[in-house]
Amino acid sequence: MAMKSMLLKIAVVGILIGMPVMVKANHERAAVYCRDGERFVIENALETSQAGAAESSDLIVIEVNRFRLTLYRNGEVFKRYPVAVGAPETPSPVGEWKVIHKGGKWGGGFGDRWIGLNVPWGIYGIHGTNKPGSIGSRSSHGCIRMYNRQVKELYSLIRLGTPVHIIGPLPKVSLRKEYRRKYTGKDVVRIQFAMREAGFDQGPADGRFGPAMEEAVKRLETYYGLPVDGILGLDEQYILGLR
Amino acid sequence: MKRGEAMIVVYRRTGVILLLIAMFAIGFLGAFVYQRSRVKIGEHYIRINPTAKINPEKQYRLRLWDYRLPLDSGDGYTRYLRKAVRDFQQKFPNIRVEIKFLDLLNGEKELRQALVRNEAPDVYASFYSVPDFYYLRQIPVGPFLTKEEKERFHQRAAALYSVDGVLCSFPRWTSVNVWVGNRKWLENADLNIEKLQRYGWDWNDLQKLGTRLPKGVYALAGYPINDGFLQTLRESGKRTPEVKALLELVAGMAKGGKIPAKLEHQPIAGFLEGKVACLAGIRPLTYRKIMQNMAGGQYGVQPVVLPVPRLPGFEEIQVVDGGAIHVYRNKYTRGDDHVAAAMALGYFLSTYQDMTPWNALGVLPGRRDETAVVDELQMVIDAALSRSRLLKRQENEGFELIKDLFEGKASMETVIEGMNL
Repeated sequence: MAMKSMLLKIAVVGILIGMPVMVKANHERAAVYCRDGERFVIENALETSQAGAAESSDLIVIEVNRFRLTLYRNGEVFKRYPVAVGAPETPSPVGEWKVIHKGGKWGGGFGDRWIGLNVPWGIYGIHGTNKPGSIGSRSSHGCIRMYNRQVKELYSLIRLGTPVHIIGPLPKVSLRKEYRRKYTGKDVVRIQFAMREAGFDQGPADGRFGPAMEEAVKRLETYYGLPVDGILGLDEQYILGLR
Repeated sequence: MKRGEAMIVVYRRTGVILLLIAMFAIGFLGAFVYQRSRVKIGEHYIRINPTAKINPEKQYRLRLWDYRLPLDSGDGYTRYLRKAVRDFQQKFPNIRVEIKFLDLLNGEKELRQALVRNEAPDVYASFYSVPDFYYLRQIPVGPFLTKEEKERFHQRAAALYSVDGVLCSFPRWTSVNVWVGNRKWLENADLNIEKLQRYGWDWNDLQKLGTRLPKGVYALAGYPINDGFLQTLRESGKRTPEVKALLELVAGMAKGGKIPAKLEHQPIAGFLEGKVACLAGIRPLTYRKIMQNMAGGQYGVQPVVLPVPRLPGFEEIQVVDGGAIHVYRNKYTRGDDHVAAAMALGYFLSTYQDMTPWNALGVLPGRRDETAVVDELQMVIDAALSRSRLLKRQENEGFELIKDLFEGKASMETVIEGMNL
């Protein structure tokens, strides 16, 4: 009985000591399941709020309709790769994102590399594939698939924080009556593009109603003589031609 | 008295007279010069030298602040202003102009801070909100203009930017808010739209419109209070019968369900969704934008632009907004010729021939010879400006009380007492 109790105590102490270590290890090498159902181990990750950390002039542009990914360096085309994009029922997220994960070590035929994006409504990224025949088609669950050797090359060329612009038709979304700080979603991306078109740019169209977007809404309200509250209501939506 | 002595007396007298004449002339000229070099505005004397000229041999550096207006979806206005400045520099190649574009949200604050630090720009272009004359650093522009130059401005607009008859800023454009009516509801109420647009209308017409509307459709929503309503009440001079009649009319409409309980809650949406017959007190550019978005034709309403209605029993007042160009003295000002250069830039920009931005904003240019009416919107604004007394927009003292009356939350008596009418 005493032995049993002693073992129990040792186990409890062991768990208490070991848990933070395990949590830390998990944090450093977190696993993600992307929209394609694949599992990747994240080696480097940025908090979403730190996603502006890239210092290079790199820009990744993915043209959904042309099935191609272009890496721009100093404003000039540096590399260009063919890709597979989201199927019509699971489209790739159109918007202006940043690389927030770089990882891999998953093995198998999936290219061993994962470049995760800060899309707020799901886990989307750029990765390799074991279906090279799908490249050049709309077949993924929204992620961007690349040939394995090419994703490895891209992985080595870019840094965390690199902007990734996915260009394509915006999905049809129904809009809420009111938008304010902390709202996220595809509908927010649509509003961000409409605001930019109307001359009220709030930075990247990243689906997040953050402080910069609130300022842009206030600017719009000031310009059109509406009450300045930073809330994008029906009036603002009508002015933007969203309704 | 000997002849010689008499001569001395005569010479002395002549000398004294000449001395007196000389002293008088010097004093007169001195007073004249002194008067010319300063101008009285309110209680303040401001030192100016309107005779100073730009020295063609000297290099000047002027700082110009204007707003980043989102015309043409972004950089349309910045391109316009840069072009205007290039054209100015063709005329004055020795004047370098550094442009700073201000943010619509904090531009006024930035100016106020710069004025306190004596770092205001030489030339500042305001947008809608025209700052009060800043006695310490602002230079009135009127004394620097010839009669012909002054006459190039719309005189009634110029009067709004004048203090004690001295033009303080260059008028660039003038605007009044408009109302937007639903054609169907106006016609159902037998209101002649063209007549309303040309000669104006009043709150009795609005009340009549309210009686002809189906249940669930409001007569008005939006921003009617600050468009003449408040200022008329403030200036009513205790004309109790007229004030009472007016407030009774509004209270009656609110009680009859013709004004929404939240007057300012999404009025544009309410109007475009057919729930509001009149959208009150919006900027012309907002009307332009709505019409532009409606070009697709997906809405069921047909908007018509209307002037702000008169308050029955009172003189017609239009509360005027505007854009003006102000000239300031700052710690970088180098002499009177520097001020003359700033005046030249201000005058050039306010009379610049390209009117594209003002047409886009739906406002009337400050230049008299260019106030051509280009469309229905500008026709309505022009007619309203020419037949009404114009007042500069003021602070909203009493605003909440009147809003409560419109929303049926305050009685007529409360308003009369609260506003000391």
